[in-house]
Amino acid sequence: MTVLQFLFAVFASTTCLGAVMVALTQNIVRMAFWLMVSVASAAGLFFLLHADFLAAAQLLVYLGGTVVILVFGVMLTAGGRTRSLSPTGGETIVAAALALSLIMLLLFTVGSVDWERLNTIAKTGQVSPTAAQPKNEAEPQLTESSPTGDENSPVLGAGRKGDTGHALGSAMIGFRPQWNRENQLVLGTGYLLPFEIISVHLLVVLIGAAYLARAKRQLPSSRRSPDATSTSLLWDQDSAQLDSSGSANPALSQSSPVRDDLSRSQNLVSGTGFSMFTSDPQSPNSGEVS
Amino acid sequence: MSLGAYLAVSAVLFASGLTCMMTKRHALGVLMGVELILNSACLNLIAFARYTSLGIDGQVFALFVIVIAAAEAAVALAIALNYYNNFLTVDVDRGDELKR
Repeated sequence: MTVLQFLFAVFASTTCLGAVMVALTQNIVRMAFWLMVSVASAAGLFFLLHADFLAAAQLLVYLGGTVVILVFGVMLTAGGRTRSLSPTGGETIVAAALALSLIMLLLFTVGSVDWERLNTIAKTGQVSPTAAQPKNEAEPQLTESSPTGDENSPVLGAGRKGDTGHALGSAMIGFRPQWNRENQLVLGTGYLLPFEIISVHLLVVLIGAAYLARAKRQLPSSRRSPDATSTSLLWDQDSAQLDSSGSANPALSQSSPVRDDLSRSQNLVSGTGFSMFTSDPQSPNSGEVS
Repeated sequence: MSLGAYLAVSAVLFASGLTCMMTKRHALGVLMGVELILNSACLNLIAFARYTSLGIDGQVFALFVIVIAAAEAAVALAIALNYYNNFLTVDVDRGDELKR
């Protein structure tokens, strides 16, 4: 067992374990944790497949973005009715039967296809099994022995160990050098238009998400906030008038009940204990005291 | 490692994600199942890019899948928050209408 096989065993087992535990766990926060384990191990599998840029993007986008967004969603929707959201027994039995039959079907299909023969047919364009050994092309064997044998990729960059960043970037801006079947280097078409489309799509999706998730109904506490600022302004105004004239202006205290209560309390204060401050016109700090 | 081993891992991911989508009643649990399924598709594309003549094209499409998954998570989370604001629950069995 080589190091690569050991790493594949570790990453594949943790990926499958995380995925199965996501399906089995009922606690939503633990589901998010197991999803994190599965996604990180899948990024390790991407590294083993020589897709370094995609593995880094998987770690950044999934672990750094999507799973954190999911955890925030769990926390934002944590309250409410505390009902059990676990499925009933019959649903569990039906789901388990369906899942087991599906995974048996998929594994049987994967195991029954001769992938190497299909690969050589796709590379050489000949259906006859005598062409199973393709001739050695311009690129040398870049990887060690693997069961699929020929590692020569018709595309520059793919197949080299850990050098997919340049190839992906040039493919995204429309340049994709590749070898054709006659072993000539030609300039293929890239992915500039899909790149633009998906960037506009991402912008539209983010605007739509912000539109959907906005707070439509104002809560009573948030509706009271502009009145609170106006009462604080009124307080300063009334206290200033108390300081200057010694009593509240009755014309200002008619508009709102809050203002009325405020001026009444001001009258009480200025009438009982604090008249010595308000009657002194030389005191500069009387507004803060009252 | 051969192509079949990676495809087997991807099959397990797909089956788990589909089971998660079918059985969970929490809306964000369904969303996690969708993430698992997209992840299995991504793993398939990268494995074929490595072991067949698909080349860099498979990795480009896997990158698109990752971007689509992020966008889908954002929109689905917004819908889940909207649903929670209206009904005070995230049980998808009660989600027969999104507006009241």
